[in-house]
Amino acid sequence: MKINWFRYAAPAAFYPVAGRLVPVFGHAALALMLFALYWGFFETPERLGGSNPQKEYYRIIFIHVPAAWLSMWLYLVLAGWSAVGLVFNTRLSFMMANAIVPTGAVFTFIALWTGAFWGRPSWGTYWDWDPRLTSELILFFLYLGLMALHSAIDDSRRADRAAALLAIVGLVMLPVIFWSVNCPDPSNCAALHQRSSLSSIEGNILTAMLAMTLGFWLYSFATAFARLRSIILTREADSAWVRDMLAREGAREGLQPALPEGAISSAKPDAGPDASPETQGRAGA
Amino acid sequence: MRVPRRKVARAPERSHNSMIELVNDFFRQGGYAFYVWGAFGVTFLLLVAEVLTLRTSRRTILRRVGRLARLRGMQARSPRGAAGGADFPSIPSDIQPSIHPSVPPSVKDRKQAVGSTTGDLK
Repeated sequence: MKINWFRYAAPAAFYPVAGRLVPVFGHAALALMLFALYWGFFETPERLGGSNPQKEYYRIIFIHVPAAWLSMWLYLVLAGWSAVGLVFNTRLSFMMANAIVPTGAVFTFIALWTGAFWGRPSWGTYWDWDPRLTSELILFFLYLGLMALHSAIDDSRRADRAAALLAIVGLVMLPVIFWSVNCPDPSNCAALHQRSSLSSIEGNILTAMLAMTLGFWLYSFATAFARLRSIILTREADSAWVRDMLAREGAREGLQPALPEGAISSAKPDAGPDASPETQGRAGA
Repeated sequence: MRVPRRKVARAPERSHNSMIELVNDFFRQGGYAFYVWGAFGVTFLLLVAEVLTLRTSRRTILRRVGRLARLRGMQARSPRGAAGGADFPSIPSDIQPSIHPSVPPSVKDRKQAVGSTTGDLK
């Protein structure tokens, strides 16, 4: 079977697809996160490291590292969609980029917050102007700036382009964060973040960490697609397909449906509860 | 909050027979409960808040767009437009700019709606 993928570049075509994907990604994300929590708390050692081990607080690693990875990965993805939008002038690409921004900001904040709560017991401070902490904080401000810039420009097409440009310029932060490990050799200086590799991590800790990363990633898919649907709906509010879809879907979701023409005067859905006491009163009098 | 802020060096005199003791140990996290649950708790709250925000904003948008579509239908039906229709007495104020028959909803109004979907999560 041949699928014409370009068909789904149209918001009207992708809207129902995203609607079907949201619960799939959401449930898979929930399952993976619960598995990661179980594994991280019950199948891992209580200490991390050799001579001066980290105690139970090292378990913050199970959300800190996945959130930090996601904060950078989501930025890369949204900058990619911004570039696609600028090059091919496709509306859906910009909408996708916009839909990712708040989720990315949430994960960046989580990375900073959990980092502080890990830093206090292990480094003795909640915050330090370490290169990696600082550059991650700038990434957080970039996310906030993207949202602020987009909502500051009234014309949504111009807002799309301006925010896309800022997103691409902001890409410089990613390599800075990635290589901002200021101390290659821990014996020479007091490094906050040290170089590490996945192969040096204990197997059970790695399992929980990777499961949580995948869970966060699927969660990002679910929230981004859900937000994308809202954006599509808002921007295409005047189009015929939205009106048709609301007429079909409105009743199913328990909301007031967009009634077809001519049905308003006969149906009068709002008049029901108000009218009944009135008629009762009249019947009593 | 009852959790200790500093590391408490506890002697491991736990009787693993007791279920309560096990649960207590779990929540104590070796004396680092404040840090562990402070990190996990805020993460949990943020993710739940994001999902709930998405849900409420979707409902708001569906209602708003539904009303808009209904008004469009009325405008097409009646030459006087929606504002003249006596069978629809209570038109909510948040769609007032668009109820005049000759004026389409301005870009600004739609823009505000977009802002509510993307902007309210800080």
